[in-house]
Amino acid sequence: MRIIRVPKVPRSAFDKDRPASDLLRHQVEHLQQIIPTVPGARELPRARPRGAMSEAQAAAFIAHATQVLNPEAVPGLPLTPVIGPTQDVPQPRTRPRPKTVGKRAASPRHPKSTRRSR
Amino acid sequence: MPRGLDKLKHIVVLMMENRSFDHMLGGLTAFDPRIDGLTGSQFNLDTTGKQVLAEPLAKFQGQLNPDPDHHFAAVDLQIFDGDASAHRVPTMKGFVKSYFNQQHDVKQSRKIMYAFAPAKLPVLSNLALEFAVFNSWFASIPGPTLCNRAFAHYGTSFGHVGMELWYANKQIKSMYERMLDEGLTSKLYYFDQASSSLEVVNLLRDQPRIFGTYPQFLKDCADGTLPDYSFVEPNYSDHEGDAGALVANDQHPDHHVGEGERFIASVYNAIRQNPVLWESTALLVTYDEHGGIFDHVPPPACTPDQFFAQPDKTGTGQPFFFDRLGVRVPAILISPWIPKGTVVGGRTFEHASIPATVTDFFIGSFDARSPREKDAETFLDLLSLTEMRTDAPLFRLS
Repeated sequence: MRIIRVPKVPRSAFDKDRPASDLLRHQVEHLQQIIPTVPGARELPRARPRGAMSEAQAAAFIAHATQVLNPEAVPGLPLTPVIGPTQDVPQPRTRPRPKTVGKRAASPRHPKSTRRSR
Repeated sequence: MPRGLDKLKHIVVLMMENRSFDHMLGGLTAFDPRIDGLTGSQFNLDTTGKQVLAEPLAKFQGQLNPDPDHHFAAVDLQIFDGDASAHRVPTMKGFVKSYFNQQHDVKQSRKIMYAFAPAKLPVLSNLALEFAVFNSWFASIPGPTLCNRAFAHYGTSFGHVGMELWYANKQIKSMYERMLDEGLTSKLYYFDQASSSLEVVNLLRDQPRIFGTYPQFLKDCADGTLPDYSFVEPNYSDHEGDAGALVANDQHPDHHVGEGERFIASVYNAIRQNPVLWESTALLVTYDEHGGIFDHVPPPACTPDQFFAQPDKTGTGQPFFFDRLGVRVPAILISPWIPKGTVVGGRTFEHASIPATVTDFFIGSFDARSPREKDAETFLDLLSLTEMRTDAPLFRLS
């Protein structure tokens, strides 16, 4: 069987302070509109700086709202964090150079980053 | 009936975010000239009049910031290059101008033409070359995410061309409701509670039982309890999970495209590693819309929907009758019953092809659909092999 290696992304890929996209802001708005119509949901989840909302802030609101809408979500296999707990990760003083994932992943002349298993 | 169809029990759809066909798969033309991608000659003019070629210079992150505009009016400019005449034709020459409008930065505006070298996308590239890649799968609407995703769930957006919240009407049910009404099983898996579901928050309110999380998807694949029809949503944000940092894997600009590659591989592996499931499942990987990024194929006309959008909704000063498609997006159908290297040409697909195919296969005759869905191409005929392939690859996530 052919095995194709898929590299990790660099630590710098994670930025929970990135401004929330138009998509996330609309998702938050829609949930804000829906939640008050849910029987038994008496109050909105604590929201939401609007214009300057970060991805983490949007995610926190969305998690709270989704818990209200779907409290019975069935747990499955644990999600594997891509990077690991950020609070334990020492932050470099300078921004690290992005790793050249593609060059390691495959020959630049062919897309098949493959090897045969033995 | 082909043996692959006879064995088929599950259809899984994974819909990623905001990347065009040429941007993600256009470089594969160099490996298979049947793939309608980049030849090195496609270009737009920038605002100084200089030619900007579509070149394999795309990076995983950091190039498409700000997020390219892909609302209806901007996409209209991208497709028609500002021509508003009655008999205009799509030229696909307005992408750089549209991106320039956001920051008035000529250098930045050129990056909208960048495409990925196939070697940078080992997952998507290999899946495209191994299974069936569609030359003509288009977004359903020349507009943003939510109205396009609606076509995947309902076969229509009920007249919407934007991002507003709307409620489905009673006449056209979602794919999940149709399945459950017939005693079949169906689930929409969102990544986790913090990412949740797009578009169908009204369904999430009314019918939480049709929703699951991605960890549940992985468990259902491992346990052999996957529903008949599944729709998988990626993670739309960088956030902390229970065990650490979770990087957005939806590939929406400016999220890291490599993490989306890993997510696609993870979905594929979950199916591939269960032999019973692998034999009986078809996986479609596609993107909701092009995200404002260049593609060279003009979107064709299509069957008009029964709805229309007013000029104040389109932002172009003109109404829209849902009579032409949006920009082309990547689409790959995966099954061990598909011949290696299948390139689907000469047929036009769009997101209404998803409910059309799933309904036809699992339910059969079903009249309460949109005109678009009724006329949409279906794709399960691609499972044409009489013997199951045993050479399908597996991805190793480092």
